[in-house]
Amino acid sequence: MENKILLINWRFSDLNLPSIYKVEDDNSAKIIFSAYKNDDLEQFTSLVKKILNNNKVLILTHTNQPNNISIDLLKTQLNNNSEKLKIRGFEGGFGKVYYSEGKGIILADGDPENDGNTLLYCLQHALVNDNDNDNDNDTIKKDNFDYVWNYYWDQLELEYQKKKIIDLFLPLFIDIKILNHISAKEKNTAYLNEVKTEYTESYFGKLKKGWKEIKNILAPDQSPEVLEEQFQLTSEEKVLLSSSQLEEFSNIQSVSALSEWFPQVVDMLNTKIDQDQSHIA
Amino acid sequence: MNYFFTVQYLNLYRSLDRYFRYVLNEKLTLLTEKSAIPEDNSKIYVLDTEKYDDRFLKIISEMHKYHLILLGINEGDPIDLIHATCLRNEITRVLASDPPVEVYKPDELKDKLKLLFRGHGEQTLLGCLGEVYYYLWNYSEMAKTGSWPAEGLNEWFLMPGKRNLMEFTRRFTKYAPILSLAGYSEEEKIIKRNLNLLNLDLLKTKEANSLYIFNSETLQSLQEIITFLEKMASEIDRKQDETNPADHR
Repeated sequence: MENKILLINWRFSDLNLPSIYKVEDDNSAKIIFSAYKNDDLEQFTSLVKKILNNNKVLILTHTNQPNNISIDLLKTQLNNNSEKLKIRGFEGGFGKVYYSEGKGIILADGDPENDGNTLLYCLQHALVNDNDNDNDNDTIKKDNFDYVWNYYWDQLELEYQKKKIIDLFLPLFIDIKILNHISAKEKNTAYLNEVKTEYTESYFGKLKKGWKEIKNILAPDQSPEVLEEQFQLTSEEKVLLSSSQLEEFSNIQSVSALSEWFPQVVDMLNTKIDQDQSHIA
Repeated sequence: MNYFFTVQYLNLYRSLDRYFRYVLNEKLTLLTEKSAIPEDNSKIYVLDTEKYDDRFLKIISEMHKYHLILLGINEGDPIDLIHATCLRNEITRVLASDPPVEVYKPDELKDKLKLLFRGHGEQTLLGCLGEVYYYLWNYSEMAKTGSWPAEGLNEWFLMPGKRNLMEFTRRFTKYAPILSLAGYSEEEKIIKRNLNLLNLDLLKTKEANSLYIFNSETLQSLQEIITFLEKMASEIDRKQDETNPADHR
């Protein structure tokens, strides 16, 4: 059976690492916490090789002090061309792996001089409450695990973001084509009445929310880039992505600019994805 | 009749339905795994990204005649929803094409079938079937001698044989529609028939109070399945060599 194994490598100060935790209501998922540094790369890769075994393995590693793990080096050492292994980096307190507002896993605000980097401290909000046995609580809440897994495994893939863009905009794009085709007044009225019930205020609300999530990954405003280097958009590509004034969309007739913008964005993403695939080949 | 299969893009279905009604003056029905099987010669539209969905493959494998039309978002796709300057003309062109545009490319089918035989990191399909044969043949031969305890033979041979057969059936059923599409529909039917024979005979082991001796055709059916699959596996490998020699460098 294929398991999901999340390996989080950070500056934990516990002595008994790596340490394995269960996930609430999910026997096929596990989290391993470790604290390898760049000098321990051999041990780090050896652990990963042991757990691969046809499982899906997601490695999240801290890339700056004190771990200083190089993602590129780790990938090279693991000869990473498997669809079942993904390696992502995080640093500087940025990233969904950090606990915030009930989501994420590691709470990183502890005092290092005072056990603030121990698993006991860092996982305090992500653990399932276990009143019977407080000293032996090794189960992470399912929602927190899923949130981190979904973000790093799925959402940081350009292909996934492309699908989200298509899901959001292709229906509108087709409706714009219909608008361009139909001219007879009665038909036009019937059609507009129909789409008004489809593209309601709440639809455009969801569209704007989805679009914001996509932009946070493809073209983040202030926070650092979250995509792997080869997938990051150039400044011109980001300008293209942001050139459509989606904030002004309020009804079907206000979105006609989409008919030029949408194909350009899909083509740009396709080119980016193809470049990476030809690079791998 | 026009059908559109999707599990992920329901908003797109509603827009396409409007396109069909307002621009093409036709109706587009949503096709799901719960729908009735469309009548023969229906036009079935599917997105490139969903054409290998198990539920979709099951639907079309139950139809005799259909016209599949592939929708995509890339230039070069049979109907490119994004780049086509006039979608209506594109649909008309594809519908008039003779023979219809190929939806399943031979190389893609071969890749899928290689997965069937190789397994997703599990035991190979032929390995799994080999286990079935080993356990059931031993069970049957030992049962014939009458000198082995029923409990022991059930535990050592019959149960593992049944478990492996269930696993084989699960994997085969999932890929059966792809075998049909890849030109193995006769073989697929014979394997299904033989699996039924095998399962019917195995059901009798539950009814029998003591050891059950298989019908003579049962192990023969199993051997026939192995022969068919070995032939297919070798053909698929050979085809891969012919089309993709670089893979083996």
